[in-house]
Order: sequence, then C-alpha cells, then structure tokens
Amino acid sequence: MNVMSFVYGFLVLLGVFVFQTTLTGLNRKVTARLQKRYGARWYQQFLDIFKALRKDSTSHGWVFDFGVIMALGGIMATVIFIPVAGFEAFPGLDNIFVISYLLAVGMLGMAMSAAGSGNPWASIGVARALTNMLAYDVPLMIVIFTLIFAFDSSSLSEIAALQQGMGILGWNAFRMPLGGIVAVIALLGMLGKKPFDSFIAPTEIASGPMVEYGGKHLGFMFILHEFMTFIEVSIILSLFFGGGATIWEYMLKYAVLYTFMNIISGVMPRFKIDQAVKYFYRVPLAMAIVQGLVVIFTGLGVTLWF
Amino acid sequence: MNLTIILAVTVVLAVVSFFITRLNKKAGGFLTVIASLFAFVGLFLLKGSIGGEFSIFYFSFKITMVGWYFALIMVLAYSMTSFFNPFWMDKMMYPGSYNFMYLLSMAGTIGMFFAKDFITLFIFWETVVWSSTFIIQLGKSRKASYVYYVVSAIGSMATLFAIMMAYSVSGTFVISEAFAGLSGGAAIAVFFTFILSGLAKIGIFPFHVWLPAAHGNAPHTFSPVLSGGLVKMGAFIAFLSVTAFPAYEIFSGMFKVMGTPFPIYFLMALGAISIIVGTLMAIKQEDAKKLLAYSSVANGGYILIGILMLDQVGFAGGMMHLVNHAVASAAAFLAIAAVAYRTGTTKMSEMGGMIHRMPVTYIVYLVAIISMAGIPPMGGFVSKWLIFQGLADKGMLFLAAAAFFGSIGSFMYVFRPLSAVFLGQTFTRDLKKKEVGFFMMLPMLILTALSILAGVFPNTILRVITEIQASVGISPVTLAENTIVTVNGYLDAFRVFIVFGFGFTIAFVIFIVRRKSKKVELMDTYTSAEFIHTRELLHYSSKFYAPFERLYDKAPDTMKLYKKIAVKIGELGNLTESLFYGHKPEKTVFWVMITGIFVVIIGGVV
Amino acid sequence: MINPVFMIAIPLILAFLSLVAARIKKWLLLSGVLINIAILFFLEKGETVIGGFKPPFGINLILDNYSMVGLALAGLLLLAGVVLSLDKADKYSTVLLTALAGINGMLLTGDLFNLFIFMEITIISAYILSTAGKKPEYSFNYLVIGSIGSVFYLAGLVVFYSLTGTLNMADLAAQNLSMGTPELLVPLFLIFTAFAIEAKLIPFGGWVKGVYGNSNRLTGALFASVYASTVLFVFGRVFNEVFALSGAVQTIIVLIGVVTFAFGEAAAFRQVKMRRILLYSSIGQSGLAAALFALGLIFPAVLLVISNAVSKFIMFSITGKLREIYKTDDYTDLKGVFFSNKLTGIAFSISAMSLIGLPLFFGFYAKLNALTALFNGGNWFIPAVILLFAIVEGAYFIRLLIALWAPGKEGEIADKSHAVGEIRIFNIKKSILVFILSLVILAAGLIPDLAGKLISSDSGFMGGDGPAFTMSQLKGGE
Repeated sequence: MNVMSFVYGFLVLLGVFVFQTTLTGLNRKVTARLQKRYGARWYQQFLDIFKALRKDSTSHGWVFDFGVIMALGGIMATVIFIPVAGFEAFPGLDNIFVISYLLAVGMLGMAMSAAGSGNPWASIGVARALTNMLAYDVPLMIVIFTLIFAFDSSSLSEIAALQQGMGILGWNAFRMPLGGIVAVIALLGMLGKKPFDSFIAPTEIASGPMVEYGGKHLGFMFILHEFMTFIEVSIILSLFFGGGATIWEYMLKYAVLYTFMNIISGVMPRFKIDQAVKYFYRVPLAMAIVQGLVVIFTGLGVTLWF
Repeated sequence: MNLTIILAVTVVLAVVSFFITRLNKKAGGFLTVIASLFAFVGLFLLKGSIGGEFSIFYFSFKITMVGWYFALIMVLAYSMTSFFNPFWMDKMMYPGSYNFMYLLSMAGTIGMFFAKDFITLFIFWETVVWSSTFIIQLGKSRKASYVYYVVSAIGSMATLFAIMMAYSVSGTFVISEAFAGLSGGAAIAVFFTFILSGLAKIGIFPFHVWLPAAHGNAPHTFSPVLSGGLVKMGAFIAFLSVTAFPAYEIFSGMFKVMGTPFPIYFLMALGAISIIVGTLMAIKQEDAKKLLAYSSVANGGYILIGILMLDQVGFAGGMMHLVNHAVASAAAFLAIAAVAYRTGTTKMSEMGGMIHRMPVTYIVYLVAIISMAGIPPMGGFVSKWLIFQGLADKGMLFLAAAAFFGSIGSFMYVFRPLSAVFLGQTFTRDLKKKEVGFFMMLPMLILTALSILAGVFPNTILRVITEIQASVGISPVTLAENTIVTVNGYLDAFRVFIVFGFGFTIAFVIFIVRRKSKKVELMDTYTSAEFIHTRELLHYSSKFYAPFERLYDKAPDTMKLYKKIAVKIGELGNLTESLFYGHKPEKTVFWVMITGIFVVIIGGVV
Repeated sequence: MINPVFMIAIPLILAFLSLVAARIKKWLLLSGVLINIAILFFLEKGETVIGGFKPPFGINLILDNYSMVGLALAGLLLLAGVVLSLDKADKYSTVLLTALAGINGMLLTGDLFNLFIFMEITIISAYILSTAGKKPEYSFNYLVIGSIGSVFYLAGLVVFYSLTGTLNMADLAAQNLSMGTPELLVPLFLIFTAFAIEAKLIPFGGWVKGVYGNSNRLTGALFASVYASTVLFVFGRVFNEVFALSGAVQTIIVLIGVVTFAFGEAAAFRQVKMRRILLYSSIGQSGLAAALFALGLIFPAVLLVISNAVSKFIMFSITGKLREIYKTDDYTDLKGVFFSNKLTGIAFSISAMSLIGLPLFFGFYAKLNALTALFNGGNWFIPAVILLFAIVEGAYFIRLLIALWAPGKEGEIADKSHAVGEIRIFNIKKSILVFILSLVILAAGLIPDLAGKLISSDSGFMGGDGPAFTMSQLKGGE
C-alpha cells in the first residue's frame, strides 16, 4: 500500500466513470431503438449528471446528506477493488466476499439516506430493493460458492485468469452452464433491470428510494448508479466470462454483456416484488443448487469436460 | 488477579447491593456498575494465571484460555449494560433483588467458564438460569420468564443426564477426562444430550422460542445481557462437546457428510435451520427487541456452525463471531433501551425519526447493525467472512446457502428498526425528547468503538483464538501482520478500511465543494399532491416487508409444538387424576383389587 | 442414657393428661414435642427389649442411625408445626400427642405386629386431623381406604406368621425368605398395599386428593411432612431390612414408584390450586422415594424424603395461611402476594427451588445422589424419567413462583399495583421462623457434605449405605 495505489485507484474511478456513463448513454439509444424511438444523444447521461450537480438542492437533515456520501464512498471503494483485466490498484484485495459486502455499505448508505428523507415512498422503495436483493443474491452466492470450492480461490482476478487461454469454451458460463444462466438472471436483478425493477417503479411508487432527490444529491445518485452497474457487471464478467486478458478485450466483453442485459430488459414486463422472490427461489435457486452438487460431487466443470 | 477474589467480591457485592438498594435505589444500581467493572478488570488481569488450578470450597477451577475468552466477553456485556441499571431502578418492582440477581448471575457465568469439573460447571450454570429467570419476570411478560426457564431446564436436565452417564463409564467429573471410554450408542446418547443445553441456550431451532419471549420482554437493562452474554454460555457447551468430548474422533467411523461425521453435521444443519428461521421471523417482527432477539437466533446459528467445524478457519470465525455478536447485539439492545428510556416503547410502529432527537444513539445502532449484518469495516464482517471461507473450503453447500440467506436477510431486518425507529418522520409526541445522558451514552460508545476496532484490527482477537485453537490441538488460523490467510483467499481488514476511507473522502470532498443545499422540514416531501399534515401518517413503519412476509405467513409456529407437549402432559395429569385420585373410595378399592389380581397372575407366571 | 421407650410413653402420658387437664392442653402439647426433641439426643442406641422376653418372642425397639434420622425429622417438623400453628393445634392437642407416640413407635419398633399397632394409632390420629378440613366425606373416604390397608396388612402378617412363625423384623430377615416364590408374593403384596395406601402411591392413594386438598395450614403441613416421611421411613426399613426385594416383585414396586412419580408430576402440572399442586408434587416425590427404597438406594431416598418434608412443610404452611386470608388457593387469584411478604416469599421460593433440585439448595444434593446411585447400579432409564419429569416439576413450580412474585398484565412491566392485598401472611416472628427453616435448606445445600455426614453419621444406614456422591470427591478428581 503506497501513494501510487491511491493515485491508481483515483484513475480507475475516473476511467470507470467515463466508460460506464458513455455506455449508459449508448444504451439509452439502444433501448430507444427497441421501442421505435429516436433516443437521446450518447453523451446525454453526462449532461444529466453535471446538470444535477450544478443545481440547487434541498436536504432533509444530516442523515440525508451523510447517507449519500457514505453510499458513494462505499461504492467507490468497491470499484477500486474490482480487478480490470488483471489490473488492481490494491493487489490482493479482490476477494469476492469483500467486494459483495463492501457493495452493501453503499447500498445501506443509500437506503439510509432515502429513508431519512421522511418520504414513505422512499421507504417502500428501500423495502422492495432489500427484498429484491434477498431474492437474487442467494442463488448467485451459491453459484459463487461453487466457484470458490471448484477453484480454491475467492479472488476475482484469479478466477478470471483461470478461464483465459482456453477459448470461449473455457469460460465458466460454459463450463458450468446452469451457474452461468443463474448468474445472468441474477445480474438482471442486481442491475434493477426489468423484470426486477419494481423497487424504482416510477408510476407506482414515484421512483421509490429516489423520490426526494434533486440537485447534487441526485447527481450523486446518478454517479453511484454508474459505479454500481460497473461493479455488478464486472463481477459476473470476471466470474463467468473470463474477464479480459487486455483492457480492450475487457471493455468489449463488458459492453456486449451490458448491452445484452439492456436488450433483455427492454422487452420484459415487470414482476411484482413477491413474484420476483418466488421466481428466484424456484428456478435459479434450484439450478444453482444442482450446479453446486454437480461440481462438488462429480468435479464436472472444474476440469474441462468437453 | 485471583479468581477467588473476583468471585468472592462479586458475590459479596451482590448481597451488599441487595441491602443498599433498599436504602437507596440509585446507589444500588451504581454498585452493580462498580462490581461488574471490577470483575471485568480482574478478569482481564487474570490472563497471566492461565493454566492454574485451584479450588474454592468444594468447587474446583482451572483457568483456561477459552474460559478466559468466554468470561471476558460475558462480563463485558454485563459491565457495559450495568451502566443503564441506575436509571431503571424506579421502574423495577424489586430493585434490590434485581441487583442481587444481576451480580449473582454474573458470578455464576464466571465460575461456569472456569469450572474444572462438570458438577461445578452445572451448579454455576443452573444458578445463572434461575437467577436470570427471576430477573426476566420483572419485565413485560411473566410467560416469557416461564418459557425461558422451561427451555433452559430441558437443556440442563439433558446435560445433567449426559454428565452422569459419562461419569458412570469414566468414573470422573473432571471435564478433560469425563468423556473417556465412551463408544457406540452410549457415545451418541451422551453427545446429543450433553449439547442440548448448549443448543437451548444459544437458541438453536427448535429451542429458539425462548429468545423472542425473553429478550423481547425482559427488563430493557437485561436484554443486552441475555443476547450479548448469556446466549454465549451455550456456545461454551457447544465448544466442550467437540473438544472435551472428542466428537470428531469418536464418530470418525460413522457415515460422513462432506468429511464431517453425521451427528456433527446434523447439529450444523440445525444451526443452518436456525439461521433461516431466525432471519425469516426477524423480518416480520413489529417489536424492535423481538426483532433483535430473532437476529440472535440467526447469529447463534453461525456461531454453532463455526464452532462445530473445529477446523482452522471456520472455527476461528465462529469463535470471533462470539465477540462480534456480543458487542454488536449488546450495543443494539442498549440503543433500543435508550430509545425506550425516552419514549417508553419498543414497538416500531409507535416511533419514528428519533435520529433528530437522539443522534448518538442512532450512530451506535447503525454501527451495531452494520457489524451484525456482516458488512465491512465492522467486526461482524471478518467473522462471517471466516465462516464463509471455512464452508467454501469444505464444500458444505446447503449450510453455505443458509448462511448466505441469513447474511443477506439480515440487511432486511436490521434496516427495519433503523428506518422505523430512527429515520422517517418524528412523531409529534417525541419532538421534544432529548438524547440520553452521558453516563448511559458511555457504554454504547465503548461498544461501538469495539465493533469498529474488531473490524479494522481483527487480528487482535484472532491471536487469542489461535491460542485457543492450539490448546485444543487444531492448526491455528494463519495470521500475518494485518492479514488473515486462508486456503481460499486472504483478507486485509485494515487496508479495506483505508480504501473505504479513501472513497468516503473523495465523496465527501465532491459533496462539500458543490453548492450548499437548503435545509427543509421533514414534512416537506413529495406526496403525490395529497395534503398530509399528520406526521404519524407520513411514516412507513408497520408491515415493512408485507409482500415478502405474505409468502410465509402460514409457516407453523414452533411455540405450538411446546404448547402441544404441555397439553399432552396436562392430559396425562388429567388422566391420573380422574383414574386414581377421585373422591370415591370404591375407585381405590377397585384398583387395589386389580393390582392384586395382576400381582397374583405375575406371581403365577414367574 | 434414656430408654427409647420414653419416646412413646411420654407423649402417651401427656395425651392422657391433656384429656384430664383440658385447660392446659396447649402447654402439654408444647412440652410434649419439646421433650421429644430434648431426649432424642440422649437416647440409648441399639436394641431395647421391653417386657423381659427376648426377641423374637418379646417386644423390642431398635434405635439406629436410620430411625434416629426419622425421629429427628418427624419430631422437629412436628415441633415447628405446633409452634407455627399453635392456635389450630390447641384443639387437636390430644390427637397430636397420640400421633407423636404412634410415629415414634412406628420408627422405633422392631416387630411387624407392633408396627401395625403404632400405625393404627398414627393413622387414626390422621383421620381425626383430616376432619379439620370440614369435609366429612373426604375423611370418610380416608377411613374406608385406610381400613382396607389395615386389613390387608394384618392379613399379610397372618400369612407370614403361619409360614415363618415369627413377626420380629430381625428374625424374619434372618430367615432369608426368597421373595420370588408365589406363596410369599401374595402376603408381600398385602403388606405393600398397606404402605402404598399411606404413601399415596398410584393406584392406591385415592384418599389423598380430598384430605390434602382440604387441609389447613396445620394439617396440610403435618400430613405432607411428618406423616409422609414417617411412612416412607418405615417403608424403607420394611422393604430393605425385613424383606430383601429382588426379581419381579422389586421390578413391580419400582415401576409403581416411578409411574407414581411421573404421573404425579404430570397431574401437578395442570393444577392451578396451590394445595393441589403441592399434593400432587408430594405424590410424585413419594413415588420416587419409594422407588429408590425398593432399589435399595437408602441414602439417596432418605435425602429425598428429608428435602421433600422440609420443603413441603414450609410450602403447605404458607399455602394454608394464604387460603385462610384470601379464601382461595388458586394462584391466579394470588398474583404478587409475596410483594408485601418478602421474607415468607423467599422461604417459599427456596423450598420450591430445592424441590425442583436447583443447585445451591439441598434438593440438588439429594437429586445428584439419587442419580449417581442409580447410574452406579447400571440403571439409566430411571434417571432419564427423573430428569424428564424434573422439567415438568420445574415448570409448574417456577410458574407458581413467578405468579406469586411478579404481578402485571402481559405486555406491561411487573407492577406492584397489580399485586393482591397487602396483608401480612405471617406475623414477624412466624415469618422469621419459616425463613430460618428455609435457610436450613439453603445452608444444607451450600455445605451438603456436612449435611450428608450429619444424616448418615459416618456409618451410613443399614449395612453401610452412605453417600453415592459427595462434593469433596470433586476436589480429589474422582
């Protein structure tokens, strides 16, 4: 741990922000085209964020502010831990549990801030978001558990590296196909994309947790959302799609995966929150457990089997 | 420091506090603070005499590392909670006996952890049980106290049976030798009956029923002790049942699940069920203390699984989770008690927005729940991380699934009191409420600091655990300077904390440099063009997770099982009464004749 | 040294005097029980022959450790009972003095026929005492069932006499009767029935519900402690020293005892009236003691009898008085009654906790001894039953204690405003007396080895049956 690590960390943050925000802008266009609209310009997302940061804002008390800072701080710390194409600002800290629980700090900060606004819509949104998390995370964690057992490592970069150099079939998504499917479905849930977006449901609960935000608070939330998207997609990318040997490969794969998620989301209706739970605990959970048992008892998937 | 002095002083002060409280209630309360702090300091200094053996009266003691570790956790919970005692004396029906029992039960726990033989252990154990029973009855429910006693009694009677059975084989009560020579069916019987009191005390399914009843209804000043302290007595029994009782060796010939003998795996599975049951039930509670009680059930599951693994990593996690949960749960209960001190209630639907009145209490609660949910940078994260790593190493898929479920579910339930009690709209009634005084704040702040320290410098605690691991003959968890190393990965909690601080600083700087925001009233929110002027109506707190709760609202209640058994015993009693003890002499004459004929027949056959 | 026959003679003389001098009968009673205690410690140990004929032809009294413990227990508790309820005892002075003579005789006699006579004296006094409940039909029930017992006993004696030609205990014991033979089974059963009726064992103790359930503070306390323990002491002697049980007979008697214990505790569990709770608890304890006696585990059984007698004495006294004051003994109507009677309450709680067998109290030592002795005999089933129903026992006693101490609605903290009445249960002197009695339980629980030694006085009972478990063995590591 030296000064350079912090400089690298800062650069990672900047790079990720630019990359992901651009990608989000492009995907707004993709979604628009799916819906037969023209869509906004690719840099519209940047404009939105900076506009929000410039505007006046209202605050509902210190926890409203503190929560926002804690959320962004936690999420940014998590981003720094994410290995990108084998590069880590702080080597050796890319433990999957650390990342997924540090992510929770950000989420808790966000939830705290939202509930601190005093708006019941926000609380309802948070309640749904947490329920949603319980739904997607258990199957996903079981699959991740299987990976850790299989490769004796809980390091994201190590698991990513282990899949490289064997062609496309070396990816865990193909070695452990059931796990791969679960991961992709869970990613939809993580990203809050349809059909698992009931916690922000704008027409129903007025955007849920976000209802009271404006000005710089909203700007923070936008940035936070970009970072969070990056973390979530990166986790799945590294664990199941081999990460990337070079930064370009990584970005390309990332863009494809993210756009794919967006396209699925574009054509989906919305689950009610209890339906989402039921769904996750029926199909993906069963698949995750079957995958886990197969790996633990037969070893299929740890070694290449085709 | 000498254990004799610690025990003698606490017992004497217990008696003294009883009489002092009769003269001056507050003074009696303060005496419990002094006595428990004395015990804590004394125990801390006791580390030097580890390995020593001695006896007081007929009790024999042995100072062991693990006993020291447990006792320290226990007395920490007692001493921190005792700061609240002086302020609740007026609300107690029997303040004198409360103080007496408080200190007596503390002395009991200390004696129990250092016992050299099982009878000493049992005597202290039962003393704790009955003295705490009489404290719990002073709270909000008499039934709770009854349930607590009965469940405890089921456990302790089973354990007594196991001790006696082992004695009949080995001829000794000394803990380290008592289980020698057991094998076969007797070994299984002893193992399961012995650990029963541990399961009952930790609150493992199906014995978890007493936790919500007792934690939820005990006096506010005793719930932190129950959850932070007394529950850990069960963990000690669990520890003994895999170390003093060499379960892994004795059952080594049996059917194994993922390398673990079936009887042990079965108990781990019970731990996993407790995690799930505790989590689900905690999510739907309406009372903050009951919610925390169910969270203790879930956390007890982690502790049990960790300790029973008896390996390098998972065991360390389980042992460390003892401290983390004790600290976090005591802090959370104290925070709720502080709120109850001001508002007079622990029902979440009757409060809101207390953060604006009690910010320090809020911070205390926040840190506590972050630790409880296992989120970095608090202690709870490190111990859960170790347990996860241990489970992943062994490939225990189903246990891990339960552990993940409990971990993520805990976000849901810990957030609930945070949102309902502290965030949201402040109720009109509470607008003038004040923060608690410094004396009550102090223990909460200490516990908060401990939670953070345990998360940033976990190795301080883990070093003690490595010594415990060495003392029971398993390879200790590998520790570098700041790093914990396991087969599957390693954790540098300090660096995680620093990076988190880095991220937080960046966010803070961005926030500060942007234009200052305008402060608005809490009622000034978007309400879909409705005009709402009642604060209470604009607060979302009851049935927080209604859509989720609906999925399992028909789940059977374990309490019904106990009620059913009670009814059956009552029916047996009824039968006895109506068959044999009526008011009619002819009935007895009839039975005399029947028995006579029976005896004659038997005599003829024999 | 004083001849043990005075233990029987003095109360009888005083009883006669109390008929003549009715005005001072209260003082006669008091002096009777006091003298009884006083001379107890100067009695001549060993065998005393009365009437010049040597046993087995003559009458003899036997004073060994065992009967000494029984005499001391009965005498002390009778004294305490008389002092505590002198107002009630006054009316029954003659009866109580006669009962004392009968009880002493039962414990001392060395002859089965004399035992019959003393037992009759004692039981008849019990019939009379039971009329204090003012429910004649229950006394009548007791009379009927008790008479059956007497007849059975006598019938049993006749058979034994015709078979062996003697009724002297030592003589019978010397004959080494094989209890397995069918001829002996029937007379043995007849004798057992007589004791079982008095010891309230299932299915023989039908009278007890009416009598105990309608007792007042004097009679309840005496029935449950003095009478019950005396019967059990004699039971222990007869079925160990006189008839050495073995085989099927032993199994049946042990089974009856264990079943009584289990069923009694279960019956107590569903009661709400305090006297009923106590009476079924007495039944249970008596069953357990009988089972232990039948198994030959005399020392644990004696501990159990003593612990139970003292506890039940205290609890029945308090319950009886509560019933007098509040006209009810339903504990749900007596919530928080100990709030203004702390000393009495503590005495009651200590007794209850000792009965449950919680540590620091004497009952725990008794229980540990029983368990150790049973396990040493290779028996794990009875300990399992004992511990299982100890949970039930604990449940109802703790429930009772909680109700009597902490009143309050569910959902609200315990509050004295819900407490029943502020009437003092006992005046200060009597409270202290009861409290001191309970302190005996506590003290004996804290220094159990000393208490155990005091009871068994080194040599143990009947053939050296001493403590199976001592606290001091912990230190030695064995």
